[in-house]
Amino acid sequence: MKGMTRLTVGYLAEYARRPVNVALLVLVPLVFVMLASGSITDFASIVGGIEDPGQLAAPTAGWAAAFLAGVAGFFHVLGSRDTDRRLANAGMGAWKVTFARLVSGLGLALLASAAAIIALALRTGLDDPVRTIVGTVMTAVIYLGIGIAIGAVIRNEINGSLIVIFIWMLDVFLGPAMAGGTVALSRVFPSHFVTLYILNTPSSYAGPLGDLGWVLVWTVGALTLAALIFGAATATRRKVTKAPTPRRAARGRLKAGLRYGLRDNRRNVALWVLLVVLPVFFISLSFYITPDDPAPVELIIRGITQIKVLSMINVHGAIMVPITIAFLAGLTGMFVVQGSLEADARLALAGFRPREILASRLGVIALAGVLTTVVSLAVTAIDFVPQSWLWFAVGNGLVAATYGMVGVVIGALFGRVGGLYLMFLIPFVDVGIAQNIMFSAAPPGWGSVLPARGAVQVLIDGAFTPTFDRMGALLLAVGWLVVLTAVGAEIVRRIAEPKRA
Amino acid sequence: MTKPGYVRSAIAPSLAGAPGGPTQPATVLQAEGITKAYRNRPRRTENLVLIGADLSIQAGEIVGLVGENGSGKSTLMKILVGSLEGDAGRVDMRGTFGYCPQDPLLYERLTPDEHFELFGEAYGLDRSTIYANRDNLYDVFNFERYRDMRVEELSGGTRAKLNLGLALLHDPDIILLDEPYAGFDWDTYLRFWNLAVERRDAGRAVLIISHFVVDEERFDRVIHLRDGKTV
Repeated sequence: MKGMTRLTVGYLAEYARRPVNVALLVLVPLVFVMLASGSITDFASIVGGIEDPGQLAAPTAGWAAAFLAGVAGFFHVLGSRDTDRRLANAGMGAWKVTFARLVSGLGLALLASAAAIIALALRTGLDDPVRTIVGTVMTAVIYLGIGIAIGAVIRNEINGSLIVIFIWMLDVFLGPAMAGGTVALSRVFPSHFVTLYILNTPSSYAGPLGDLGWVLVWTVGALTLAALIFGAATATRRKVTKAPTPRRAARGRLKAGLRYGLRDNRRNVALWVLLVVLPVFFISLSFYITPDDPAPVELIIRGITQIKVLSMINVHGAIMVPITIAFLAGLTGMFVVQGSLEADARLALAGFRPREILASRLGVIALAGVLTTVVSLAVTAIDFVPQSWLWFAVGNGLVAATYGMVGVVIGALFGRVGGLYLMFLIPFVDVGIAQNIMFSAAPPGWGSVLPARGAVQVLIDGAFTPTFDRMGALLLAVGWLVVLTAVGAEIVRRIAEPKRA
Repeated sequence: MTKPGYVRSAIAPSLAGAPGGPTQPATVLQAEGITKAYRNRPRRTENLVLIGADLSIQAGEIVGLVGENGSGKSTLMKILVGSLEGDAGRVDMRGTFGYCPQDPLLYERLTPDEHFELFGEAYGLDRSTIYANRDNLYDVFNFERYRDMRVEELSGGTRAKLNLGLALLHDPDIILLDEPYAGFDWDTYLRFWNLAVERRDAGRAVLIISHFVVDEERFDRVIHLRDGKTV
């Protein structure tokens, strides 16, 4: 028992020694609950969910805590999986290691829950403190289990974290508080019953277990499943693979770097699947779930600013395209550079110029951005035809390029775990709130200082006006892209450049 | 960025030849006064690892660099090759070098064949030289059957062979190896030493880091790193 306690404390200390992780574990719920909850309420109202802001505020704490606990659980396990297995094989035993991981993970889930509840209390107060606290902690624990289970199975950090986030998004945005109140399929989603419990809205389909019974089943079940999967992975020894039966020009290096950079990432099949599947899912869904309500939007047509009343279906669909693209491009930008950082530095020592390495990495990011943009536009075309495909595509392409570079910069500054939190939060705040025209005819003024302002204005102009009247916005977007590319290039150069006189 | 007092050059003509005449081997790597401290800003702690370490390697010798855990061997090696910036000191290197880091820094989803091609481009080798040298290394370290497998599918020992092979691909003048034989089986260990002696006899300089020198007679010279200095 003493050994397990020491191990649990050790795991927590390991996490806490990267202060940015702990800071974000607290800061993200604060921002999410305090800043975004108004927009979430607006969104829920638009897509046919709960319209009372007071009632909807409580689940936002649970959602924030769930997101953080899921991601924290995933990285908590992923980063030291081999070491854990080694520790188990060294005599600690798989179940002790598993128990210590789960307990230390619960500590992280509690910390995230506490931050989210404090933020909620500061913003709206707690109408039903016991229900809110219990529900929030249980939501976080369910997602902790999901994160740990995924971390025990998926080796690749981008694929695993995307799967965690994908489950979370599906769960929240198709949950009973949002668009999926009447969708029967949503009843099997992880936080369905716990959201109903927090909302104090009994379902009529819980059966003899009751809503709270299902919440407990999900909470205990998620932790048990995580323990079984993690325990099995920890106890298993590493699988031994069986054996199957004169200086060139810079151009040559550049070609080789790009070729092998693409090949290295191309073999990450799950990444490309996610880059295709996520746009299909998010964009199509936004068209299907949105009621056909009127949406006033401020547009400039032939130089004249005017308010036009459009269909909310089209407005939501159009804005969902850059939200999806920003999110995916940002994560790709971050992980492509971070994933090969050390090997790239070695390649630079061997003779590659930092600019050649930079070009090959940017080539991969650009290809991923193009793919995501093309898929997103193709999916959009099924339900919506922009007035100008050209400017709609240009605006979305600029969002992809800009957020690819944001990912490079954020990854270099905050590392993979901190970067992942931020690369979820920044596109959400910037494109999803600060540039969103679903909530009022024009986006909020404070959004003009964020990177996507110009690009989103260009694509909105392309979506809903026959002429191009957003030259200023185009220049602003290009300016952001140039500055971010310069910063990203300098960061990669500093990392890759040999320390020579 | 280079800090004042810290200079590193790829070629140092002053080292070419030695005043002693043609029989005295040329110094190919010389480091003087290398100092390095690791600082932990949030906790305001400083770990002074190297305090004016000196090192000199001649062509045609195998030198061992030994020291306790945490004595700064890998830090010194990283400063010599330029992957880490020293706080002070000077490194002069004459000729090409090959570096085998302690942790194999490899691309997880590329194969050994693809690594050799990529690093061959980095070293400026033509295609036929890359293929010839690569095949020779496959033969010496006996891992050709893994040539088309991704690194993520390789065992630790095969990764170590690839790691070492990448450092030797271009037949460099100076070979800098950080614990290269960790994970080797006995047969591969012996093959490694045969290759090291062969390269030494061909006039190459070899510097090998080790926790302890188990085969001291295999080295021409052993340098100890103690209290941040070479002795």
